[in-house]
Amino acid sequence: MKRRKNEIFFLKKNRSFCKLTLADWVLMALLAAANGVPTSILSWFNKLLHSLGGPLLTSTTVGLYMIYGLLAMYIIRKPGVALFTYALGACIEIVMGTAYGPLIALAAAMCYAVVAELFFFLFRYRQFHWVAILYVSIAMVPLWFIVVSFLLGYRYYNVTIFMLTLIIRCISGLLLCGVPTKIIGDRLMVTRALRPFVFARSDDSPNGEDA
Amino acid sequence: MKGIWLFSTSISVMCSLELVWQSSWLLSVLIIAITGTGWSFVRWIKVVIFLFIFSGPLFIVQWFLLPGTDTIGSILGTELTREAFQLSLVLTMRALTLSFSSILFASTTASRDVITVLVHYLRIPQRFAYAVALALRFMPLLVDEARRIRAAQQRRQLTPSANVYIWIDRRYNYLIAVANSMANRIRYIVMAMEGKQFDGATTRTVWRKLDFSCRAITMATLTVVAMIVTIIFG
Repeated sequence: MKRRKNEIFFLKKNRSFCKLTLADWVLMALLAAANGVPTSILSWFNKLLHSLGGPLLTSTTVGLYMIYGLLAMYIIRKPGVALFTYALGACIEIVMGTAYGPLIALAAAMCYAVVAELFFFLFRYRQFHWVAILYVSIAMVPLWFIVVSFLLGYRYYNVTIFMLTLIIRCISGLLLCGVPTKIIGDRLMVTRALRPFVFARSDDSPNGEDA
Repeated sequence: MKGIWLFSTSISVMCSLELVWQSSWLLSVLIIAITGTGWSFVRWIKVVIFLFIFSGPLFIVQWFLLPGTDTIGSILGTELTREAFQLSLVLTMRALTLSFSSILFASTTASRDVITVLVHYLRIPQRFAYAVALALRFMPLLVDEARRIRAAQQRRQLTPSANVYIWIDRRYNYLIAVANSMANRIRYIVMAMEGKQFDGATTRTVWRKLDFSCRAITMATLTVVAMIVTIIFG
């Protein structure tokens, strides 16, 4: 209880922790850019998958759309990072042209961001181990699935297809978002290329506090 | 104005499941494309083929998968129903309208106009708007860098491996190399921006201004009205 109070105090009082630096913004922008091109192309591929296998096949790639926000949060570890990164990514997708239209791009980004921010707030922006990352990557799926079932008409399919779609999306979120985020993040940590970020100074970093 | 049109179109097609409304919106997008884009005949053929590749199979698959009661035929033991046909047609039209309007917007709008609108007219926080600008500016550089890293890695690994684990490991190595190069670039960008006192002021002078013609304003207003009508009656 005392630790929790201390951590809330830390979040409220330590402005430098909450404030996003210029380096954070540039990283978020570049991650959004790095994701914008592939997802813009992927959206057309996804459309083709939807044509060939309905909601089941198109759900296999869901994890790839979520990776950049989670990776940004994993590296920067500050409140609002997921929200801004996903919002930036949605803007880039809209400008590049997406097969699903701007509304879907924005709605998806907001759904992922809300869940990621909520869970990392509950984890007090300190839990970034395997279980936490994998848990969040799965948790980001259901909210967007509920919204998309209304927007893209998945709710008209029968219950079996509906539930299978949700399961495939969760697996995709786990394998294509959670696992790569952790692996890429950890491998980057060793390279010391991301020294300006909280991630490189965290307890789980091999670079230690003085990196 | 194009943004208003794009969002109104998206919201409208999402709100309605009536065939009449969906076909009207698709038709309006087609008319705008024919009259406003100035595309060549060859480009039109490419776009139509591109959209048909997605929409044709989508319509057929949805017709097979969607439920219904009024059977009108059977193929390979699967009953084809009238309700499924209608719903599949509506959903395919919706997908077509969304894709086509997005293509129109992306191909006819300069990215710097989007930034100007974000900063000057929508009052989005400066940092966010400039992050969008930065992302757009560095996109070609990132693509080029990723291509160079891939070419270098391909030359080193002379024969592609059939082993799945090695293949995955090489893909990860590629991603790490791109991410590492990106991280180094971030340091240079941040140093340059700090050197130019990017954080020195809370507001920025925006010289670029957009002129909205009367025709564009009328078009945007009509689209919004049509969207409201669709939401209420569609």
